[in-house]
Amino acid sequence: MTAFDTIAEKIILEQELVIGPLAWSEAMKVSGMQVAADHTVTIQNGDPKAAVDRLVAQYERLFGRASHEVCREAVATLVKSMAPADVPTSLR
Amino acid sequence: MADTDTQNARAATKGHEDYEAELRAANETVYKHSLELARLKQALEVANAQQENLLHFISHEIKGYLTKGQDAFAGIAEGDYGEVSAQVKELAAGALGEMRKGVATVMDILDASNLKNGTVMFKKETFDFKTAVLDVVSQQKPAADEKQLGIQLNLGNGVYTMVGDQEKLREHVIRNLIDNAIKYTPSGSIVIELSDGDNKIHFSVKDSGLGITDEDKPRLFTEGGHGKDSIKVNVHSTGYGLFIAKQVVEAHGGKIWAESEGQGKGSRFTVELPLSF
Repeated sequence: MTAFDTIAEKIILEQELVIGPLAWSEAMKVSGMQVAADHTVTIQNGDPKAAVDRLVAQYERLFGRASHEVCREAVATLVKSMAPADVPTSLR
Repeated sequence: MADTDTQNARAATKGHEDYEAELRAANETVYKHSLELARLKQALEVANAQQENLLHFISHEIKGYLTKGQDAFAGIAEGDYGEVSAQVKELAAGALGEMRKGVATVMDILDASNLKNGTVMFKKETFDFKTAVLDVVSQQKPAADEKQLGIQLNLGNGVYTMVGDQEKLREHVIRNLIDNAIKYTPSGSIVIELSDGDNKIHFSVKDSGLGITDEDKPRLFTEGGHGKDSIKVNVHSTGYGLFIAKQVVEAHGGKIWAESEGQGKGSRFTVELPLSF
């Protein structure tokens, strides 16, 4: 599991607390992101940062700014330990 | 005509956009409320866990003090510290009884907490359920005699050898149901029945006591679930007895339920346990 897989999973889990199973079905719609039946998240080939940005945008498109903040808070600790250049734009 | 069509199309698009914006705003509002609820739920879970830990800690500490006191009074009553007067012996025996009740109350709270957290280990041992019922009845008989309650035993000649945690079934289920029947029956009788069939043991305790109101039925087996008037009859009730009994029975793959025709019409508690689980 890469750091970006973990970030995506944490974001989905946090959204699940608020919107329930919808969090998983919305994540499944994000291109470049594979969500297995056991809820394992894998970011496939391509730019992992962009995939995370698309995930955040997917929630924000539906639920607005508050959902963006939830994503940011969910991974705040993880992001702190990353080099600034590695942090997806939506989470800076 | 073309102008009108364009105007209509623009109006439809505008209506659609407005509708979308409205929907998005509604979504955001619902999300914010859900977020607030999720945060409150998290805070509540943390507070509950802290309260549970505190309750566990206090109960554990009190149990320790009570056990020490219990040992001291038992020593005095049994003459371990030398000969004492009959009056002191009687006082020590009385205090010992109270200490034991105190320990039992604290143990109820601790057991309920442990069962709820899933930190209770159940033994799998082979034992005779009928013997356990007879043992408990003989121990509880003096309390029934004191209230002049008749105990009728209808114990069928079936197979009652089962696999399970003998001590927990005996203390939390058999004793609890018989004890409750005695406590909540001011006068009359108690009928204890045992039968087998379908690889199950059917055990029931029927009394002619206070009965259960429809209002009390839903909370009967819940944690701390007192009947509305039960506390008037048994002021020492913790409300954990039937909750624990249900947890223990269900951990053995069994069922427990209560029936009553209402207040003052007695009640019947039935337990169904598989012979092995």
